[in-house]
Amino acid sequence: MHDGIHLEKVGIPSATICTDPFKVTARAMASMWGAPEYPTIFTSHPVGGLPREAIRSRAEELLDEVVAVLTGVEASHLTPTP
Amino acid sequence: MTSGLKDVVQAEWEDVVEAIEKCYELGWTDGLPVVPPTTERVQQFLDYADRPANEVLGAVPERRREITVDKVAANAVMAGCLPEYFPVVLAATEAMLDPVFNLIGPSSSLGGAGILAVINGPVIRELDINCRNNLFGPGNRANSTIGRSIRLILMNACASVPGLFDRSILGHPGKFSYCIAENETETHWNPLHVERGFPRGTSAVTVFACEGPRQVRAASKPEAILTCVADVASSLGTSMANTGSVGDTSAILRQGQIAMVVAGTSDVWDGWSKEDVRQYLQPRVRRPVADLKRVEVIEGDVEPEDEERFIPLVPSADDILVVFGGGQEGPTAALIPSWGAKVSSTAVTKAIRPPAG
Amino acid sequence: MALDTRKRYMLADPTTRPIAASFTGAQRLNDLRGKRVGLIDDSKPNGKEILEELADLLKARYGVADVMYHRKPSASKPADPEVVARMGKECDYAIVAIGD
Repeated sequence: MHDGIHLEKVGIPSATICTDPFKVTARAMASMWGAPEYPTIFTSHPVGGLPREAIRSRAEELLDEVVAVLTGVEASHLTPTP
Repeated sequence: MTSGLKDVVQAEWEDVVEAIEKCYELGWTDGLPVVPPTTERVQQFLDYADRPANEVLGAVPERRREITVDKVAANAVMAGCLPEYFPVVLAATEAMLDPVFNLIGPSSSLGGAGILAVINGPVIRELDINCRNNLFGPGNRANSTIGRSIRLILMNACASVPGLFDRSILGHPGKFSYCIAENETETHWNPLHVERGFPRGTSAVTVFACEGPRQVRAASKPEAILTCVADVASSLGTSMANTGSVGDTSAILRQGQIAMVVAGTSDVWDGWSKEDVRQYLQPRVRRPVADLKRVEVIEGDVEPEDEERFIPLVPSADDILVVFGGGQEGPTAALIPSWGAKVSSTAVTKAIRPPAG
Repeated sequence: MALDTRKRYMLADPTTRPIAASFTGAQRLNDLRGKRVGLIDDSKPNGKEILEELADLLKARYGVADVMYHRKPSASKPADPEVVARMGKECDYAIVAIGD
């Protein structure tokens, strides 16, 4: 949380990915830094220990949300590279 | 009475039970009853240590908190301390807030560290801090309440609220109170704080983020005792025999520190210095790559040569803290692995400032 | 007649509050094409792997040009402020993985 918020503070949009059990903690941390609306992306726990193929499909699942957080627009509104 | 205490809460009660219940209601306890931190009592602590209420001892920058003397005093009162213990609690707090201790790590991690405080110097005798039987408790007010203060400070002043910012999976009983003193007068060994650069005549406290103490029973020869301790310290499943959180350091494993508390009589160690103990132990606290692969700490199939390739769990002899203390009935030791890698938290020693006048 | 025997006390608050912080998020990007992404891996297992997979997808589908990768020495510490500052200068946006 701390890193994502500090990247925003130095001027670049950031997407922070965190697993579900840390929702409450992550939100409390963001609020503490004055950023209760910081758009953390949550994914199911755990990520550690998953085989590479599962990591790849997890990334696939998260991609649209990452793009939306960085651009402020739904991924479907951006033109993918042909 | 006027006081310099700014941050106050008004309360009322009829009797002592109601007073205790009020503190539960305010969410200030560790689960056990506390002494209500009345401004009068807190002021006594401030007066004893002769430190201004608003003096900043350090910060937990990640949680945007500055820790001031009055907050430490309020928690020390609640823990049941006497005013005389307060300088020790202040020094322990300063030590925890030292950047190399990296309080945010051990006070939030899933790993569930307790903060062990080891007290050295004349203050042990002055405050009757236990350094003998039942070293890890219970039964002595100073040990119990100084140790408990540390946890209350973490919970109340540093926001290490269980379930919120303290995300410990299991924790351990040392998280209630974890404070010992070294028996400096019945050993030929140099006290821990002297080894760490403080004059013998000063008092000091060392804080160490760690797992619980594992009792080690052994025969009465130094080599036998140390072989047992090294074996326990080399266990699979400790925070040290683990990977992750070492980032771009060159170590494959976390590589932490260990504390060893040596009980029994000093004569067992005739001819041995603490440095000898450390030098003997350090190369023996290790694990073959084969074992680490079998438990998936290191990836890959076990190769024949992996049985003979060892990885040290403690990077240098200086990362072994040796403390003499406990009962003298027989050679027993306690082995305490660090909560994590040194890069995530390192033991810190601070001098205890004697009260003015 | 019941006497009110309740007494009033002042208690020193043992808790602290965070120092107030103000936060303004960075300007969002219109397009990711040709941009440079910074990745911060907290060094927990699979942190690096998930960031690599995301970076590959961003390159393949959104024309992201380049990657700057940083692995923190400890998950228990914030990223080095110098690294954050450099990433802010040299990258257009960032992805942070908090593993576990």
